[in-house]
This record gives sequence, C-alpha cells and structure tokens, in this order.
Amino acid sequence: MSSITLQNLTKRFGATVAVNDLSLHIDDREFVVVVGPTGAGKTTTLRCVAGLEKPDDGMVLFDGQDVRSVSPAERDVAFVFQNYALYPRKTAFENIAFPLQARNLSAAEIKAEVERTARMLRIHHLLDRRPAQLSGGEQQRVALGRAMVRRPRAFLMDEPLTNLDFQLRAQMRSELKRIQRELDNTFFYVTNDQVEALSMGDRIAVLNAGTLHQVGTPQEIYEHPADLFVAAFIGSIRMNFLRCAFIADTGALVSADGGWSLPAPPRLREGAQKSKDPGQLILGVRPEDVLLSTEAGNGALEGQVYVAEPLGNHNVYNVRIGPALVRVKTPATFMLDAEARVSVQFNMARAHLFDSATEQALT
Amino acid sequence: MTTQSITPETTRPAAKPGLRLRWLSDRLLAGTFLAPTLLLLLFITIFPLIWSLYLSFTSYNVNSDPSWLEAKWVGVDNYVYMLTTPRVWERFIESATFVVPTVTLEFLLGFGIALLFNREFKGRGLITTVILIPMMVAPLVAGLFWRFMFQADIGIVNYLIHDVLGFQPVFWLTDRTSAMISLIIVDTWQWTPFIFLISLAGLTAVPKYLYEAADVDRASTWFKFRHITLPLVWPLLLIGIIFRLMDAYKLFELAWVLTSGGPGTRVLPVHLYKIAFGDFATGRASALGYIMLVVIIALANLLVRAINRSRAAEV
Ligand SMILES: Nc1ncnc2c1ncn2[C@@H]1O[C@H](COP(=O)(O)OP(=O)(O)OP(=O)(O)O)[C@@H](O)[C@H]1O
Ligand SMILES: [Mg+2]
Repeated sequence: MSSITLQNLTKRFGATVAVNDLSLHIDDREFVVVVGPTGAGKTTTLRCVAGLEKPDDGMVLFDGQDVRSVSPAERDVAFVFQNYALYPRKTAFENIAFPLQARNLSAAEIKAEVERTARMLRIHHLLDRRPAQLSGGEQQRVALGRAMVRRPRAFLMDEPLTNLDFQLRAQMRSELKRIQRELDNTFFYVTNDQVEALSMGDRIAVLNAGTLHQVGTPQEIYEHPADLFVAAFIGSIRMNFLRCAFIADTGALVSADGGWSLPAPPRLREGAQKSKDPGQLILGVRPEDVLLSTEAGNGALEGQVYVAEPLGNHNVYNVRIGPALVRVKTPATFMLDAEARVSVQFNMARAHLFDSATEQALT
Repeated sequence: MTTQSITPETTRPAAKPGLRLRWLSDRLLAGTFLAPTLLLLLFITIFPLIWSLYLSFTSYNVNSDPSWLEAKWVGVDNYVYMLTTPRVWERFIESATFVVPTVTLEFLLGFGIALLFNREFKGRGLITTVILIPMMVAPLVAGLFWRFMFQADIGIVNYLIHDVLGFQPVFWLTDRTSAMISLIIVDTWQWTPFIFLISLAGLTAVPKYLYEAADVDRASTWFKFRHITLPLVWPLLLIGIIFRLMDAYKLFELAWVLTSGGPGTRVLPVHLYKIAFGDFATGRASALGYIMLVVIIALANLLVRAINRSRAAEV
C-alpha cells in the first residue's frame, strides 16, 4: 500500500526509446490503467517500477522515496508478467504458493491462502497441474494467483487478461475491480484494450511510442481526448476525422474539399480561433454522435450508405459524404440497405476540433 | 455441376517419370546407402563382441593355444572364477575409489565454476575457452606431462611443496594412496571442463524471466537455486554425469602412463589388460570384460531412469 511516482522516466534500448520522459503519479490505493498499442513501452514502464529494468533517466518513487537503489525484492511489489513467467517444474499450487514459501509460512497457512486465491480465480480444480498442462487463459490466472496471494505494497499487472475469452474477460474485469477494493491496495495495470482501461481504471494514462499522451479519469479521456492519438485509440469504434477549415467571417466549418459547410457552435468557434492555422483543422465526431435519417433534414448533409455492418446490439454504417467515409453507430433496429441515400447530421455539441499541424485538441 | 468441380491439376498430364526406377523403392535405396556402414560396423564392433562372448566361455589362451578351434569349452567357469577371486573384488573397489571421488569432484567443480560464469563479465568468452583447454589435450599426452610434474625428485609439484612451501616432498606416483590421488587429480583436471561446459549450457537455457519472477516474489538466492536452477539444469547434469561415470570407469591410458598400473592405481581396465596381455588368459579376460559391461549397463540404466523421471516431471 503505497503511492508510486514516475518522474521524467526514460528508458532506451540502443536506438529505441522505449519510455520517453514519462511522469505519472499513482495515489495510494488507486487503480491506474496504462493503455497503449503494442510497443508503446507499457511493459518497460512496469519493469522500471518493479526494479527489473534500470531507467536511463528520471526516477521511480514509492511513497515519495527514491527507490533507485532498492532491489526488486525489497520493493515488495507483486508483478503479473505478460508472458506469465510460471515456474515450469511446479504445479499450479506450488506456483501460487511460491511467494509464501519464500517467506517461510507454515504449510497449513499456505494451503489455506492458495486455495482461497485459486477459488477466487476459478482455478481450484487445476491446482495439481503443471503449467504445460494448462491452457493459456488458465496459466494467466495462475500467474494472477501468484500475485494475488501476496500482500505487497502495490500490484503491477502486465496485460493479465489478454488470453481469456470474451466472457471470462468481462467477468475477470469486474472481479479484479472488486478484488482491488477488497485488498484496498494500489494497482498499476497495463493493457492494450481500451475497454479494459475505461471499465477498470480510476484513472487512465494513454501511452504511445514511449510518450504519455494524456492522463485522466475514463470520462475525461473519452469526452475530452487531448490529441488525435487519444481520440483515435479510445472508443470501441474509431472516431471520425474530417479535414476542414474554419471561416471566421461566417463562423462555419467548411470541409477541405468544399463539399459541406456547417455552422460551428461557440465552443468549436473558440477552439478554432486558438489554432495558428484555422484553415487546417480536423473535426472529430464519434460514430454515436452521428445521426442518420432517411428523410432530408434541415442542415443535414447528403450521404450514401457504403457498407453496413449489423453487430447484434447495434449497427455500424460506413456512409460516404463526398469523398469522405464516416462511421455511424445506430440502434440495431435502424435498418438500411447498402447504397441507400441518407441524410447525415453531426451532433456538433459533442464534436471535437484538432489542429492538424500539432494534432492537439482545440476544444 | 459436379463435373465442373474437377480441379485443373487432375486434368493435367501426369508428371514424367524421369529417371525413376520402378523396382528401386525408397526402402531399398536407403538400405543400399546404409549397407557399407552396417557391414563395417558388424565387422569391427558386433563381430568382436559376439566373438569375445564366445571366448569368455572357453579356456582360450591367445599365446599358448595354436588355434581358437582348439579352445576348450568350459561353460561359466571363467565367470565363476572371476566373481569368486578376491583380487577381482579388490580391483572393483579400487575402480570405485577412483570413479566416485573423481566424478564427484568433477561435478562439484564443473558445476560450481559454471555457476560463477553464469553472468556477464569482461573476458567471459576468453576465460571459458581457456578453461576448456585440458579437455582438448589427448589423455596420453596429459598423462605424460603430469608424470613429469609429479616426479618425486625433479617434478615441479614437489619443487613447489618442498622448496617453495617447505613441506615434506610427496611420492606422488609410487606411494599407494598418493598414486590414486594423482590419478584423481589428473582426471579431474582434464574432465572438469566437460561438466563445466554442460552445466553452462544448462544454466544459460534457464529463462531469465523465471529469476525475475522469483526476485519479485522475494525468494532468497538459495531458494532460487533450489527451486528454479537445479530442477531445470538437473537432467542435463545427469547426462554429463553418465558420460563421466562411463568414461572414468573404463579409464586406462592415464593409469597406464602415470604409474603403469602400479600399486594403488590398478583399476579394472588395467587389471583386464594385464590378464589379457600379461597372462594371455583370453577366456578369463573376456569374461571379466563382460562382467564390467553388465555392471556399467546396470549403472547407466539407473541414471537414465532418473533422467526420464525428471523429464516426465516436465510435462
Ligand atoms: N530488452 C529489450 N531490448 C531491446 N528493445 C526492447 C527491449 N524491451 C523492449 N524493447 C523495445 O522497447 C519498445 C517498448 O517495448 P515494451 O515491451 O515496453 O512494449 P509494450 O507496450 O509492453 O508492448 P506490448 O503491448 O506488445 O506488450 C519496443 O519498441 C520494443 O521493441
Ligand atoms: Mg508488453
């Protein structure tokens, strides 16, 4: 139970900068999720925190104390490795018991603890198997168990749910969240799955190519992405990006090809004026903020359905507006044929504006 | 409809047979290639094996009997003689006094040095190569120069012990006990690198992340060694030990060169040699050879089983 602070953390591997000047504070008992695509430097960051990797620059602090000279064991953190790192000659039971045995607990205590943990992770029926006799998802849960059985200062978890099927993953997400509340401990959690990040994190840190893009609550990240990368990465259906220009005289946003013009509400207008080059902007609209209709509406754009994807509980349409393709999320009951002509309306109150040179959000 | 589903490949004319001979099947071809080797093997290995097995049941003496045809069939007499003569048991014990300490020493030293080398440091590759040099020396040559070094009056070893350190000189090769110690020293010197090499290979194959996991799990160095290193390296080490056991058990050159099989170093192969080419008791020598073979097969079998058991634990 301690807070973790990363100060200007930098880690290079030869010419690769795996982590670049990363600063992040995790409060005691907070659940922080670092999310980013593959190769973003998530594992490297965690390894620096655990003491398995020596940062080239910057430092890691536990409760405000520099832990540069503190060994991994003395840092007393539990780590769930991305590749599980299970002990191959040991059974699941022995794997989970390992941290307890290393601490010289009595056999009865160990047994009770291991079984309690295994039941929580639903692997109690697999305890006498060796890692090679377990499926990937089962191994992953043994690795989780080996961490959960401890009472460390903090839990570091490197994509601990990636190998589980969809349903089990959803279950484990809420289970982990519950466990975190129960253990009342600091969780530093890494994933490439933005759904996991949004649903589990007290706060989310978005990482790409070693650089921290944004830190905030799930709502902040989702509603106010700081830049194009965050806007594109967060959200189960990618945000639509439309090149446009702001015309100060009319207060309108005009598409780059001149195909459409939309009046900008005050929020977007203010944003556009912050840009050095209001002629080169990117309008960001989430698929659920686009309205389709078969009847021509006031101020609506003309479009044509290009691809229809029925996804069960909702539909996704790719709609062509001039040369641009726009993804639209609609209720499952809203059925359209391919090639159908539709009118398209953007919910401008929830739209985002980005500077295309700096890629930073303007709203 | 169905006629159209025929793939183009089947309508194409069959590939030309080329140089293929119908009667030459793959098996026959393989047999043809293997035959010369098999025949040679049969002639130089299998035949002598069976031949000596036959001789071990006769009273054949290669020196006095004009022809093996006249060798008298004596049944198991040779075996009974060999197994009941106290001298042979003494030889077995002498062999064991050599084999057990030597292999133990080689194992401890080789594995120990490998543990020290199982990390990055400057000059690691070079020192590793230097350590391997004794293994590359022919045993006969190694024996010859160690004999010089062990010379009681002019050898460098006694020079160091007596002239430099001021202790009593040791009669390395002529005293019963010290002769055996010399033999153990030289064999250990020569073959520790072998165990070292095998251990190093085993240690390098242990994934680094297991140690990282154990570090994070706050395991002590000893705990990591006991629970991660040893279980993973053990099967390979056992193979190394089998090699060394068999090799030490049949050691001949070194004992012959160092002491000519003198007191204290008359291990089984030397004894066998003396029966076969000193007494020319070919039948008896063959019987002893077979007894030795059975013993080593039994021993190796035990160890192989141990390996298989630890392999099975992996699954
Ligand atoms: N030991 C290493 N040696 C060299 N390069 C490395 C090493 N470890 C990581 N890298 C590089 O550093 C970058 C970040 O790697 P890292 O493993 O932290 O990514 P990640 O965010 O965990 O990705 P993933 O989601 O695929 O696990 C990558 O470009 C990777 O190639
Ligand atoms: Mg990773």
